[in-house]
Amino acid sequence: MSKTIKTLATVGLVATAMTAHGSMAIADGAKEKCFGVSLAGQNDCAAGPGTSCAGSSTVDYQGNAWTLVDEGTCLTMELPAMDDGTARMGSLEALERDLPQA
Amino acid sequence: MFDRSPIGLPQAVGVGYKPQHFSDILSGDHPVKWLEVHAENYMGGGGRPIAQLRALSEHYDISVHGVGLSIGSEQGLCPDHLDRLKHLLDWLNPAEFSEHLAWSTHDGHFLNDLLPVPYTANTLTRICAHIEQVQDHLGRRMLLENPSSYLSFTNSTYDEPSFLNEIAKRTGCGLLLDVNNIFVSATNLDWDPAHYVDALDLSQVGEIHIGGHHEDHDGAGHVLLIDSHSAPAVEPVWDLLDRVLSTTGPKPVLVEWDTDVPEWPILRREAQRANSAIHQVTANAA
Amino acid sequence: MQPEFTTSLFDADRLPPEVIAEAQSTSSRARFGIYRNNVIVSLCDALEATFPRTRAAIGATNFRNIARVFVTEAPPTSPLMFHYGDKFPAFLAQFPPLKKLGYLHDLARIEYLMCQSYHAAEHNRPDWEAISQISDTEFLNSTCLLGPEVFVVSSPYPIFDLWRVSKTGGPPPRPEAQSVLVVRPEFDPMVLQIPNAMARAIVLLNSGHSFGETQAKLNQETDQFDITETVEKLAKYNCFIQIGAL
Repeated sequence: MSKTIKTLATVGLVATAMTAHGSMAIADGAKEKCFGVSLAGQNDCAAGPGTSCAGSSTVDYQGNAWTLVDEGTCLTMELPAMDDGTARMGSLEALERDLPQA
Repeated sequence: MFDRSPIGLPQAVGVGYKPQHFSDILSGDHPVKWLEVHAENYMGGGGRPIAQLRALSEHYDISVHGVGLSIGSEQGLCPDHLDRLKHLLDWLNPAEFSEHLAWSTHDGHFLNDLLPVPYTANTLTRICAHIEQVQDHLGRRMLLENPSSYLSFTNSTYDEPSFLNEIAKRTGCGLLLDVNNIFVSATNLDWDPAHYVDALDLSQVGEIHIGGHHEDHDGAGHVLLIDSHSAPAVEPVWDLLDRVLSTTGPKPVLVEWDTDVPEWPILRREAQRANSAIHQVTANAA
Repeated sequence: MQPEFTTSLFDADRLPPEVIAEAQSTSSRARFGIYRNNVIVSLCDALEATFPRTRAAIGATNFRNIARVFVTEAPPTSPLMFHYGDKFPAFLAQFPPLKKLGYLHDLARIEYLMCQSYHAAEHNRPDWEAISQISDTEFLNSTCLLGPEVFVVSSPYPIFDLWRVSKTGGPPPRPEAQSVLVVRPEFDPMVLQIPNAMARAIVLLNSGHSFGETQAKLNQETDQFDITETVEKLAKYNCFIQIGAL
């Protein structure tokens, strides 16, 4: 059974790749559309316009004594109960190579 | 020393480039002749930032303004960052490259602000060595910008214009003169901004910045100006620009607006005013 | 001077360094406060810019308070601010007040990777002409290289649903573990939901396993896995730099 499926799976691999490749690419005419939604540059040389006291105020973080203000979308959203079987799959397998060693 | 002189910017008005103005700038209906970008926003290697910069550089001269080199650091310059800068500048070959008289890194941490240095014989030697290292590494002359200051040091032995003059003399670097920074520092530290301008060796100025600030107060009731780049420049700052240009003649003048960035027509109006200031001295000289 | 200056920046109870004129006075504390403000606030702003959905998920006030703790504990180590926050998801994961929101760090991880994908370098594409000439078996025996803009996140939570809800609302998350693929076919990164097995396959491919080896490994767990779908997805979104020597 398993052998059959594997063989089936490989049939048309190259053909599938050939059909799929670049089908999300934009037509050449529209290439110079590097406008579009840009993220703001994160580095700049301006000082924060806020008041001088904003940076001096302290946040008292003492572990569990911290209280969350109830305002976020997820703080009010109940997640459905998770199936135990699937919950074992952790996020450790994230593909995060090529990140700069900042 | 460096083997390549800078091309130099046109003696005309430029603006700090913000991606939301991309189409407006390319439309060409404005007096802006050149653009300035912050180097560190274009060091990711690719994507839209680089594509936009490439498209803009086909139509406009570019000035690359670094904010992360930490030239005033008590520790050495970061070799990786120097390499990243070289990579960007070699690719883009901008008309100018500038950085700040400030420090922003310590013990491997980047503090994301332009922090002040005392003006002493020791800091002068160190900063000059750093600038020479930058110019050698990049193979080009750089411009150094005067900072906005909020406090002064008891151990400073130079005033700021003398310190900058001496750096330019020793290293051959040019100056990026920010007239708003002069006004901010002068107000905060009780200097005379006109005296500052008169004391500076204006022949070294390769670029001028003008921008707006935010007004605050210190605990003792003294006005504190903060270099927020969040508003139009105020009248006394335009007066300072006129004072500088009347000595130097036309120079590249940049309108800086980094926080609460306005719609293009407002930035354009500010650029038109700077353009008039440049043309005014051209007319007077004729 | 700079060591003391830096320490005082992050500790609001400390006086500014002695070398600052009138260091003990009210006015110089306020003036030093400008630099404190610039450092702390600009770093928090940088995190807000990179993690807008995480912020929406827990609310602006909570995000700001948490960001402030993080920036003090882990200031950036690079001057490239779009890289800042690589340790933020892990920080959220171990931050006791957020214990109930176990998925939050996976949401943050996706946001961080989207930002990295946005800035990633363009890359070569495989020689598809040449690939069209090879057999399926040769293809299966090949390894591949994936672009620097491609990332996978697998979560024990319905992370794609949460991602979607955090932006556009819609139906509530389904009770299942989900995986996402971050791609950037041109300039705009996209987050796609992919089967968990496909996520594992992509991680295997990226670590140097051939398509055939990857297929075999996944088939040890399920007969249903078909590498063709993974290849199709990666090809469609221009994820490949190279396939085999091509």
